[in-house]
Amino acid sequence: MQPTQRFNKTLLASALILSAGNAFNASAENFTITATGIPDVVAAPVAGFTTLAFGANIIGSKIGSSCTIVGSTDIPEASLLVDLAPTGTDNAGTTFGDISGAACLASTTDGAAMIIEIDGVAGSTVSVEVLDVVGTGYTYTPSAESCVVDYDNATTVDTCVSLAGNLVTGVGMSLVQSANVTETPTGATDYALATGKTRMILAGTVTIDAPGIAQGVTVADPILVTITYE
Amino acid sequence: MSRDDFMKHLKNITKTLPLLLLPLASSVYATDITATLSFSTLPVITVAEETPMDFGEVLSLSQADTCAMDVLAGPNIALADEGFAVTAGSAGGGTLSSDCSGSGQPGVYTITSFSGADITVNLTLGTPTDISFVPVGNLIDVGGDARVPVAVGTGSDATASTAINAYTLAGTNRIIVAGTITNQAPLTSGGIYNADFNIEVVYQ
Repeated sequence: MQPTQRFNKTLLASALILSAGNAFNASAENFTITATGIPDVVAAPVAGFTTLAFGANIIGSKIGSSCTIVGSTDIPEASLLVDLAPTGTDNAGTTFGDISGAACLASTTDGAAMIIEIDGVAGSTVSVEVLDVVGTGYTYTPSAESCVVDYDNATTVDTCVSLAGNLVTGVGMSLVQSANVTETPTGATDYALATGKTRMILAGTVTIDAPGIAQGVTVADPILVTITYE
Repeated sequence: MSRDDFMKHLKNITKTLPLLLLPLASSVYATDITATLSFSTLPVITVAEETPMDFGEVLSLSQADTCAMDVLAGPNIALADEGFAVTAGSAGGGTLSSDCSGSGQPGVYTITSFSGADITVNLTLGTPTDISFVPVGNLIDVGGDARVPVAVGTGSDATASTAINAYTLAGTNRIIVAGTITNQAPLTSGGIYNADFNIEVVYQ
C-alpha cells in the first residue's frame, strides 16, 4: 500500500503546480491607450474688426503714390488684448483704421483694419506669413502697420512684431496671460487672453502702379494669411 | 521576383513611407485665412452746366474786334451761383468791355467730385470758327474759402465741399467762367455765333 500513497502525493503536487502555472498564463489582458495629435491652429477675425478696407478714397491716378491704413502705430490694446506699455496708460487706438497718404484723400476716417485671433497650443510658437497682393494697377503690402503679438510669457512687455517683411517667426502663443504683465498705474487694464492664443493686426499699404486705376472702380482681392506651427 | 527581392522592396517602401507622409502630416499644423482687401477709387468727376454763358447782342462786326466779359465785376453772378459764401468779397461778374459794353451772363458750372476731394481745374481752348474764345474763370475753393482765378494753361486747385449747404451738395465746387471773344472774320449783323471751350478737372 505504501507505493500507492506515494503516487497520490506526487499527483497532488503536480496538480497544484499545474494549476498555478495555468493562473499565470491567463493573466494577459489587452489595454487601450489614447493619444491625439496636436490640435490644428485656427484663425478667425475678431468681431468689430472683420474687414480690411481703404474705403472709397483711393486716387487711382497717383501712380507711384501710396495709401496706408493705421494699424500698429496706434494699437487699441483692449481689442488686441495686449499690454504694450504696462507702466503707462492704455492705448485707446483712436486712429486705428484711419488712412493717409498721397494716393488717398487726406483726413478721412472710413478705412478699416482687421484684427485676427490665432488659436493654437499654449506655449507653442507659430510663424505668420502675409503675402503681397499684386492687383490690377496696384500693389498691396502688409507693411509695418501689420503685426503679430508675440506673447513672451514673462513679466516683460509683449510686442507686436512687424510684418513688413511678410513673414514673422517664433510668435509665442499665450500661457496664462493674467500672470504675464501687471499694470502699474491705477486704472490701466491688465488684458487677459485665453491660453494658447495670440492676435494680429492686418493693415497695410496700397501703392498705385502704372497705368493707374480709373475713377469709380471698386476693387476686392484676397489676401492670404498663413499660420504655421514651428 | 523572388521572395528575398520582394522583402527588400517592401523594406524600402516601409522606409520611404514616413517621408512621403511627412508633408501631408505637416499640413495639419498650418492654417490659412483669406482676408479681403477692398477699396474704391474716387468717383468719376462730372461737370454740369448750371447757367450757359451768353454775351448777348453785343458783338461788333469787324474782324479782330474783341469783346471781354469780366468774371468778377458785374451784376450777374450771385451767391447762389457760386454755391458757397466766400468770406472775402462778394459775388459778381458779367461786365463787358473792349469792343462791346453792358453786361453779359457768365457761365456757371458745377463740378462734382467727392466730399473733401482736392481737385485741379484747367481751362482749355475750343475750336475757333468765326469767333474764337479764350476763357477765364473763378473756381470757388470751398475748402480754402476763396475764389481761385483760373486761366488757360494754368491749373488751379480747390477742395470740394464736405457738407451740403443752401446752394450745393457735398463734394462739389462751382466755377464761374467768362472770357474774351475775338472776331476771326467780319461778322454779320444779327448773326448768332457760338464758340466752345473745355473745363478739365482731375483729382490732385
